[in-house]
Amino acid sequence: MTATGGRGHVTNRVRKLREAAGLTQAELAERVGATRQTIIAVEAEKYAPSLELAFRLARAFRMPFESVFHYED
Amino acid sequence: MSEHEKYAWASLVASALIWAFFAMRLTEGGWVADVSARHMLLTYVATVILMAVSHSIIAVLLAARRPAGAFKDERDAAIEARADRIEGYVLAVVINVLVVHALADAAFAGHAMPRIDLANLPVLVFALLSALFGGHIVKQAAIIWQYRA
Repeated sequence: MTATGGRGHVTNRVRKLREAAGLTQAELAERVGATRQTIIAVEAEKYAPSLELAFRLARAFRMPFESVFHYED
Repeated sequence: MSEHEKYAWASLVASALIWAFFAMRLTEGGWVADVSARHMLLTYVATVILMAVSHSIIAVLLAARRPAGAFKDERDAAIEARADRIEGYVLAVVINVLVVHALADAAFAGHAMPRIDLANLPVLVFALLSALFGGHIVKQAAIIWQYRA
């Protein structure tokens, strides 16, 4: 389960935003309905979340989607 | 380690041990023995019961220790789906190898390649059940690998 799809790479600012919001990985996981292991994997960019989870993460930080996730060629 | 990874480890170890029991009952000196159909049937039933009981015990033990609020999310589901696909590929490859081997064996009689005599019932039972065990063990290994990758 990597964040790479072969051609591009999905990067994110989840760790920075979570730390800035003063949230633990477990707290963020609870807010977005994921497990702590998934948040760890997303932060390490080893797992590219589904669109639904990505939107829930952006919403948890009250930020637009594109401020949290980026697609790099 | 997540609950699903723990289950995969336990299932992998249990399945490998049960396959070893199954193999011990059907082989002798590294080759499939010429055992009776009754012996194979008893071995098959014992193997199925062992798999069912061991996996039930694993599930109950893990459920008893599961922290409150633990659940399966989209990453767990994606990992399991990918492991299922890998298991399917392994089974397809093994079944095709057996089919090609059987056909080639019949088409080119007298060849010097190692023989898998699928017309022999113990060999057929051993090959098919080992393929099922192999697929299951590969699936559990794929789950563990994805959680650790």
